[in-house]
Amino acid sequence: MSTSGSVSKACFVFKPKAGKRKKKLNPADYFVNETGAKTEATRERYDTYQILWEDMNKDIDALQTDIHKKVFDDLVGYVGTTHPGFSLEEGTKQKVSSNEIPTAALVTGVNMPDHGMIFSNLTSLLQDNITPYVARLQAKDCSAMKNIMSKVIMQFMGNKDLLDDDDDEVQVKRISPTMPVLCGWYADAVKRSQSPNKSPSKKRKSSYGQYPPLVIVMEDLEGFPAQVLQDFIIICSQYLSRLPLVLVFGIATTVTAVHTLLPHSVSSLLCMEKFQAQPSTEYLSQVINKTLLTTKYPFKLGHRVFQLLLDMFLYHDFSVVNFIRGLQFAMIEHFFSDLGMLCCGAKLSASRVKAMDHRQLEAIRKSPSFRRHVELQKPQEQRDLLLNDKHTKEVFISLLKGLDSYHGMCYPIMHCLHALTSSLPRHPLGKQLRELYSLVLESNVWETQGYKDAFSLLRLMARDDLVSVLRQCVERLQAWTESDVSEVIMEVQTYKAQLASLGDGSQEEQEEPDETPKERLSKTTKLHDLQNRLRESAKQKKKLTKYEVLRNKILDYLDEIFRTHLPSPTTLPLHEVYYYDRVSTLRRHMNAAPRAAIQTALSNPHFYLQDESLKTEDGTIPNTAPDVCIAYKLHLECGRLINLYDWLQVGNTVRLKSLLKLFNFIKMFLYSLFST
Amino acid sequence: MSFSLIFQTLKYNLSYSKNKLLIAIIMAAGPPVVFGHPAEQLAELYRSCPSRQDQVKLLLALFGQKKHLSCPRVFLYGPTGSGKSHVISNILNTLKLPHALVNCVECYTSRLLYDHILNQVAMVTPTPDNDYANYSRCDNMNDFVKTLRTVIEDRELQEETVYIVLDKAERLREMDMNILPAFLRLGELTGCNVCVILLTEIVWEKFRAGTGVCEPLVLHFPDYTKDELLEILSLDCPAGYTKDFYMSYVNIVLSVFYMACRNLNEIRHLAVLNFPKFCEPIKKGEASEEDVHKLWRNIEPHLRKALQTVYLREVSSAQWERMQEEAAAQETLVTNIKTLTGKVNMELPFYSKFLLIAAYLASYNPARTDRRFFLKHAGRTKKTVQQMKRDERASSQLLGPKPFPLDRLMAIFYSIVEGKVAPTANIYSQISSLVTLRLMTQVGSDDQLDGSKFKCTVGLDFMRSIARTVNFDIIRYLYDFV
Repeated sequence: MSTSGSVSKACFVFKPKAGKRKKKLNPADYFVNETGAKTEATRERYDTYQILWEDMNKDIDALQTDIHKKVFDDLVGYVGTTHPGFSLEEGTKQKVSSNEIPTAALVTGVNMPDHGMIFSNLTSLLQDNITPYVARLQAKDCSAMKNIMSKVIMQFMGNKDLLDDDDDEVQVKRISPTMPVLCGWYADAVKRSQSPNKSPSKKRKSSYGQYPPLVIVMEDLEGFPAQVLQDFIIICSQYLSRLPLVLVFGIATTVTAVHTLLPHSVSSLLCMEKFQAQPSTEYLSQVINKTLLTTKYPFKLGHRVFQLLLDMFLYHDFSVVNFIRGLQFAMIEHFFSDLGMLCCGAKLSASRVKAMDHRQLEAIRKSPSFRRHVELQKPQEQRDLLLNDKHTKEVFISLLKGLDSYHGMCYPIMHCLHALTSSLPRHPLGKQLRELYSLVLESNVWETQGYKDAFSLLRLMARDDLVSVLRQCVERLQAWTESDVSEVIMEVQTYKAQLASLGDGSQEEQEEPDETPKERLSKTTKLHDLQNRLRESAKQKKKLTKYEVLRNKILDYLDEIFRTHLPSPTTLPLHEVYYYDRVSTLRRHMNAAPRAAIQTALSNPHFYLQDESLKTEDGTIPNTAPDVCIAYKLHLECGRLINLYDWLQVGNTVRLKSLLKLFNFIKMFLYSLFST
Repeated sequence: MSFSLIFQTLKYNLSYSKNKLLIAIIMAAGPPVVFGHPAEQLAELYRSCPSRQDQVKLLLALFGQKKHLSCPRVFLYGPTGSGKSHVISNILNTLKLPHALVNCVECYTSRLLYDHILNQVAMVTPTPDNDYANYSRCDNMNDFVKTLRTVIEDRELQEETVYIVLDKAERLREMDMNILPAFLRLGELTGCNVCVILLTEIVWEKFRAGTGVCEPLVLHFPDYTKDELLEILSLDCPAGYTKDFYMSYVNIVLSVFYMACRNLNEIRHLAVLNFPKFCEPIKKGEASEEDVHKLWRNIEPHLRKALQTVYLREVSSAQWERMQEEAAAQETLVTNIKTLTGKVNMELPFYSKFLLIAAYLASYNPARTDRRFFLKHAGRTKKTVQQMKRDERASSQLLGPKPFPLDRLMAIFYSIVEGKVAPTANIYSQISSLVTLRLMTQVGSDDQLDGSKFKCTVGLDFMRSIARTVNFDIIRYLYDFV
């Protein structure tokens, strides 16, 4: 804990140990209305949040196993085939020709917060298919040989299949962690699993091979001390004839990390096979697709919050887990307010609107988008909207329906636009769908420069390219079964057919106008003439070919579609119900700034202590303030260099409570204030 | 002549020249007599240790008959893959001599070392039946010596020689001071007929530290010669091919790799790896086994490519084969290898890249030049002749990275990164994740007040490729290249 003394130097994370858990707090207790009372409405809000989050989390979990499926399948298959001729019986024992440990190098990428999940998935997959014996090692547990050996042996021998009665666990702790012990245990375990009179609970075991391999997963290979790792590998290779060991290295950087850690004499003991996990950016896209770009969940992120979470992902850690945590936080924050109440399915929200009391309606009437909407109405309607609760409720319901149908069309059309523009040079609307989504959230996309650039590029597109782009559009649209986009699909397909039927004729036509000016130009001999001709031909409006006409028609149609279906949600009334956009709250919680916090605490102690007596106007030092704050303010007045004696003298005049204590703080000051 | 007589003298410290003389005497004694071992066992022993007959003979002569008083301490050294452990374990196992074979790497505490030896001599293996217990508990050398004596008496081995083989014996030097001297005098201490054999890769002179070390009999295992390698490799001949054919293949392999690598294990690995490729024309029916020249032309370019990755072992044999197939399809093996060694294909978060660049600059630029690179109106002074001379002498690229404090890193980071970056906890945690990724290392104590210091551990090539992805011209900021 000594490292956490200073907050300004670095960030320290202390994860609580699994065993010691504090009394669990119930988030429902925090859902209260303005007066601090728990009502039916607050309970409902919490329940809506709970259900929504559980559904979303389930989807994300499913995605998680899905995303790494291929590489995991490969890896598990590899582990299954590593020890084909292994046998413990003397007679059939094959001479092990090499002492190479089969090793799977799993390159996981640098997003370390996600790795825990990857490896627990992998472990359970291995345990389901190949072997009950999997040990997971983390660098922080393996600082010395003794730790690594006892960790491995505890995990293998503490295996639940072995622990039939409770006193075994005590026994495991007593025995010395050495490889011969493991050999003895393994031989016994194999014998026991083969013996016919095994208990019915162990029947699952028969699905494993006769000699299930012992898999040791090293989650963060880079973090292991080189010497320990080398010795461990040497030892493992010694026992390869008696233990079917398989290593799995989790490598965050590149495979070369193995060579920086291990000298050749050790790395030659490994028979490595490399597996590349999916990059986390890919995973993030899928999470966004599944949770935000879908009509399944009513909760959405506003532009600024979405951008903040994206920035944190791309600029800071590449961690999808952190992104999901941010999403969850935004969600719970959203349901804290009254608006969150209506953030549920269309049917439920209608009934809830009907059940609202006057106070709740007022809260929603205050939302800026609704006020904008009211201002656009006729005076009579305006009065009704602001005063007639019944009328307002009806309008609310219809507006919410409008938002739902907007979402229904928005996402497929956005996919269509992305298919159209993602392959353009320099990606005017972004390479990834999430970039386009961010643009759509921000403002009306057709007003952006990128959109204009994209369309001017599209208007220059060759026929083959256009056909393939349109085909992609149709494919992306067809993937949306729940939305009614068949009209758009039909339209695009007819255009595509027209393009195809245009045939070669268009090209012939195209060539004709090309040739004529050339001929005309070649006939002229004088420079003056030539200049005139060129000027004339520039003035002449170029005749469009059939293809160009059709292309313009198609693009005009698509432009129209985008303009109708892709307005920014911020322009729609009541979007606050679905979109969470309080970015400063989120930033404060997700992106903590320790230095700024210290600064605030020192210069404005009232902020954290919340003691009214500490509140002061600028420039004065109340002598009730903590000594540190006083000393800090004095130091600010002193400029660059401080004479320690003077400092304390001045401090004496404002009556510091304890000079001795201050001396201790001064050390801290020198460190935290002057060092950066 | 009786060898045991000679060995009586060995109880006393031998000088090095005497040592050599003794070996000469033993060797001059002609082919070893059978020493009471069954002939078929001996034959098997010789068969399993090809190209090491001389050493086996010498060792057998040293060991003598089972009941002979054996040489109390033998020191075997030689490079990796020269067959030290193989020969010793084969002798002990084939002739069924009582022994303990311990790898010192495994014994990270001296207690484990004692346990391993006693268990093996007492033939106790930890099983669930005996609660994975050791033969007995012993914490120090004194206990060990006593227990060893009782073990030997229990097994009634007082007459026979008990062999204790300590592999990777150089590790003994790092253990308690008394261990190495005590093991070298184990025979004297226990009063039993014990022969301690040390196996190591380094010379005996490096073991002479402290006092009380008895000089052992030093034997050297030289590297295999090319012919010997050929002989050993030819034993791997897979079924279905004649030995001559495989010999010709191994010859080709050696001709390519012998210059770069003489390690038996490595060459063996490569030979097995490339053999299917060699046989390909035969399988396809394009060439016969006698068509040596054609086969040579077929395999030679592949071996040359394999030479690039010798010692690396980043791919398993299966993956290598797959790569070969792909390469055959598209002839881009070189690029394939590059992507596999993958120096550049690592993605880092945006700010991590800048932090790493800042760390690199802080490591390789002298702190006094920071002003010049990162201050706006610092006036780009030219290097003076004197400075240039000094720099030539000590190019920091040659000297390696220097430690820098965290504050300097942050200062450089803020001056090179675009836009406004709040000093949030996320930025600081990226530094610690760079340290766990071993792209940076923390040096010095973790004293709170001094602040921790770091070093950047990546090379210039890697750094340039990282800098390129964020459009940062790192060369312009490096003092060495100005």
